[in-house]
Amino acid sequence: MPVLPAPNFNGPCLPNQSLSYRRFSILYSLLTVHFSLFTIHRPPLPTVTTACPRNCYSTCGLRVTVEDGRLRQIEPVPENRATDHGACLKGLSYVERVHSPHRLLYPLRRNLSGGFDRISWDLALGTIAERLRAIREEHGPKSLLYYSSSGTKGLLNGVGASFWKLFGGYTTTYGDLCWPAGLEATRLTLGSNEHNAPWDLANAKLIIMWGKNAAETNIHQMTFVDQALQRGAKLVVIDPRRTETAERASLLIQPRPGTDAAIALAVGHELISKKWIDRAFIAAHVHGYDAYVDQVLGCTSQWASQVSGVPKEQIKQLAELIASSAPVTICAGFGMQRYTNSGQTMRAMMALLAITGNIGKPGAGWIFANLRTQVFGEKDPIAFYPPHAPDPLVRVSISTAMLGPQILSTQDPPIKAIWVERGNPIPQNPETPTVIAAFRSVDFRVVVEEVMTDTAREADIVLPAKTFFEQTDVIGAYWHDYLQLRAKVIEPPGEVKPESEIYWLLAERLGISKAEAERHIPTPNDAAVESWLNRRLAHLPGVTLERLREGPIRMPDEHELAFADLTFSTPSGKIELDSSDATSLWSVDRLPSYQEPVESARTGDLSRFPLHLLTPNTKNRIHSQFGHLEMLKAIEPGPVLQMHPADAQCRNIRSGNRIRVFNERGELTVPVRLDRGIRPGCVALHNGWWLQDGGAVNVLSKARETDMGHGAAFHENLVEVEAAK
Amino acid sequence: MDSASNIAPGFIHNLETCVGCHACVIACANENGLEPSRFWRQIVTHNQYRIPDLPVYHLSLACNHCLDAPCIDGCPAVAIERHPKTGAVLIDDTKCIGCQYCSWVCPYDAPKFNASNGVMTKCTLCNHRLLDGRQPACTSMCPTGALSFGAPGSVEGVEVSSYPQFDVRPSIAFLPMTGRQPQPAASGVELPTPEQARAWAELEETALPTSKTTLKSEWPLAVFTFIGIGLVAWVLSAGFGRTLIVPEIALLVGLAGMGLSMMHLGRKERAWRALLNWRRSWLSREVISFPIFLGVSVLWVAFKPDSDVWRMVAVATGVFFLISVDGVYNAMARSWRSKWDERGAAVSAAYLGALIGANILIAFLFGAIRFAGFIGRMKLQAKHRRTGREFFWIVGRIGIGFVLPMVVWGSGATPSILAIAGALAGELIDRLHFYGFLDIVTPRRTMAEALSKKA
Repeated sequence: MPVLPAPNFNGPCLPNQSLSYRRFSILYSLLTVHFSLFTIHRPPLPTVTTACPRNCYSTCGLRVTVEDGRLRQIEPVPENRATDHGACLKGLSYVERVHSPHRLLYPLRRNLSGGFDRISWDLALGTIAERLRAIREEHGPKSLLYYSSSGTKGLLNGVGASFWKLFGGYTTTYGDLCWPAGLEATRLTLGSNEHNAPWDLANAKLIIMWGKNAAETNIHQMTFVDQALQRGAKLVVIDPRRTETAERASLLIQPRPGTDAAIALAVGHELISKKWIDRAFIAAHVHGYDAYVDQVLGCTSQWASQVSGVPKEQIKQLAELIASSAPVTICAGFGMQRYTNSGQTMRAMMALLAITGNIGKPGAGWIFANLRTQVFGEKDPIAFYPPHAPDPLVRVSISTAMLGPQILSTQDPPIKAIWVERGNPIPQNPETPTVIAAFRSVDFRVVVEEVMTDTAREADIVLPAKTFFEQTDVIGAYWHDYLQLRAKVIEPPGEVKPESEIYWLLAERLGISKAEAERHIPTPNDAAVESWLNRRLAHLPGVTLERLREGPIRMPDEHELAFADLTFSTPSGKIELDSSDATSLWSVDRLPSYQEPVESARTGDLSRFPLHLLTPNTKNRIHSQFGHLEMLKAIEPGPVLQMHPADAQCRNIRSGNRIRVFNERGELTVPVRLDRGIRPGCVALHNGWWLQDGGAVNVLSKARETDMGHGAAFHENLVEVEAAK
Repeated sequence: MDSASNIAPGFIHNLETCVGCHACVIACANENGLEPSRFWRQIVTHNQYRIPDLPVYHLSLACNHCLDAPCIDGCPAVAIERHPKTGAVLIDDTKCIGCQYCSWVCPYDAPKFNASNGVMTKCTLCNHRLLDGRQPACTSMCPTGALSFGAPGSVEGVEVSSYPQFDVRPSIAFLPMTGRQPQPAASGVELPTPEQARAWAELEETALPTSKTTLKSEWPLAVFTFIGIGLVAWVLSAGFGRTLIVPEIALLVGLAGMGLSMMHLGRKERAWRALLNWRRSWLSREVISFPIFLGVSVLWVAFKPDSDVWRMVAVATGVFFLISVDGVYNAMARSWRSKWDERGAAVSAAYLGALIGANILIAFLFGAIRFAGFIGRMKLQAKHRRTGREFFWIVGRIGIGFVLPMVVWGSGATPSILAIAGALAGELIDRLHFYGFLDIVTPRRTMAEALSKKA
């Protein structure tokens, strides 16, 4: 069946256009009704091309069909080669999400009985300005915490920080919930966070999905995995769960969570003792090999087997597979690097590629993060760190991983007001009860939100947030290297205003001069937003909004391979197995090492909390987003704990029973689903459910940092489970 | 396969590359404006408990637009037709009467009842997109390319044992899991001992998915067919020598039965359409023959009781009606069906007729056949793990419905009202039992059955 190209009107669908279109289509359908037996046959509707700005590997292009101001369908954008088959179910569910009855359409103010009343923008902005002025006067501007998270990506997000500087200054967070340990480990080892183009994975002969469930979290990568498997490659999955990705694997290694470094070091030991290494590559491009050899000397497969609970035969088998396959790619997941030992874990994994020469070649390498599109300032993870020289206006003093405790402990000045946008820190940051206590301890809270999240419920004023379909922006990615236009598709519904417009209006009320505001904040109209964006793009030769309208652009160039020239921006210019920075910056071993996690069933009180709670992501949500949609509830109605029947049997639990999962920090009561594929001793509950859903996993987690990068080590989480009464 | 079926368009589903992501389900819902409670497409997963030595795989399923579509033949209202250009099997919602019979004859669970407008809906193969030269939404938006649109007859597909096998030439092909391991990856986690595995299976939910029909939803039809059987028996009994009911009562009971049979229609005002598909649908034939039988037999008894011609016509239309009743249920896509029930309604009428007509030999003969048939049905039911209230059913069907009449009769010379009442009660219980276990095949059910066999 031939596929005809759909008509494509790049750019916003103007109201008059859609109206005349509608008239035309009615006429057309009257004329053509005889062509079709039963359905009224209409020509394809106009489309607008945009891109999905979620915190997700795939960052898909979206070709959106619009009819009468409503999203109707979301089709693939083949010009984005990494996601050319189209968006996942979440991307498709925007058709519901954008028009959901749950959306907040006007400002709300908390009333005395704890509910919310609709108020006008005038009153909302007036109240905010008045409260902020008073707090600034009494405690100074740094008593305001500006907290923004990764809910929606876009260059215009930068307007917030500019505004708060105009306000006189602010306090903000450092570090990140997601991935800093891995980014820092990669930076220390390879100098920068880049990897081969996504489709290059098809060239691999061995793919190791280490702690990554691409089938759910990066579904488009599976296309390239399949291509590699068709060409005879093998897939190894290392994960405590038998995931969807593991169905394709010839080897599934299920370690005790937090012990991956032991496995990696033992594989290194095997490779070296069997001389399965690339001597020439090591000599030319690896720094610290001899010290690494000494480091892994005692790391036998016997030892690693005892530590990780993985049979030593599997460890040897993994070493053999690495040695006998070339090229080898390791795709390292994010969940595994949210432990107190995880930077060192990631370094130990990368060492395996270094000593076997699997860097800088087609089908080889380390796929963790591809920050090639970060061309607008400091790259991650450095961008997360507190500045070397303190900024006079900005106090970067609260660790994201310890948001709750550190809001409470901050002094001189203490935190008196919190502004939250693009984030839902109450269920998503570690130690939810402390985050709630921290929010309740301050005098004034503003949350900009699309729906009534757990965090919005704690606010004094809730401002209705746009969806990304309602303001044009530009986004990068972290798996492929396309810069994409996030084109505006529809007008914001109700009284919704984009953040840039909120700041513009607030600047007026706070007495910031118009000239000053104009320098940093686009005036509230589409043309001003576009010229603001073009100014941000100006330093990139040939990149303009006009060019981006034609299709995604690979940035900064079209290189297929990372580190192809085998130069590394590390202190030694080589791949550093031995890193003095590791010690000087993070006080860890200069070499990759294994350290038992802080919260460990081995070192802790095994009898009280013997189960390891995994809190992985699901295909049905991005962190705490999408869970409220009816479409997705039809697929996953609510939180469920996955548990091995062996663990259920000794606790007298049957599938479907309601259980209490608890530790000394908190508890949840949810139904249980038995799963013979999960490692016994581990239970799993998808993260992202809200307190309102009864499944907010961070009521059980602890606020603490990873060994490097100021990440959140909230995957170290021991619990017990019992039948609910 | 003939050349037409080689190029007939449909779905090609790659078992290897489908990861069960549900994008097709949402793409379909967007395209067709479906409520989440009525998605046309579904993902059916094999081995949800991840039993170590069995693979996990997914089937993405909607309507298979079968070349021998049982829904087209079965629909009494001629509301389902194949589009001449695209080959899509389409329900015309201006003609559908909402009887739901298409969902009974479809083994793929494709037609769904839309309570908001009282008609059936199902996958249209995105006929509107096909007419525009575009592919269906689900195949256009599959992120891995696992679900594609093409000619299933032209590819080398595999038979999936956990998928309903019905001889209706579905337009779907499954591509095999070639690149996958024959067995799931050895995980290093120790395999359970057989005792452990048994204990674990106990903890898992092993119940099969519930049938789409239940006695609670279908009892009016059970009562209607019971009334039909009873009325035919009444007519037959005259041939054996006597009739017990006055025609006015028969007329009222028959009309009440017709009323009951219309209760479940989504669009009662279109009930007349059920007469239209007399060429292909046993349901249409049942709907047509019942009022004719009722009219003829009442007129005969009331006005021409001595006319053999009228009697013959009444008996013939009655028997044809009962053959139609059995035909309706024989054409259903059921996961199990007793051979004995294929002419069950007709045999029951013969038993009751002979009993009313006081012919003990023939009554015993047909009664014994029904008695044996009931036992056969019970045995099949147990084999398919569909149990419940056996004591009630056995005592009701056999004790009251067969043994009691025979004993009562055996002790006296003529059949008493007690014997006939017992036989009628037994027959009603039989109909209720039959309707309570109409286990219609669905892919989800077939998958669950196949897994429970393997495990």
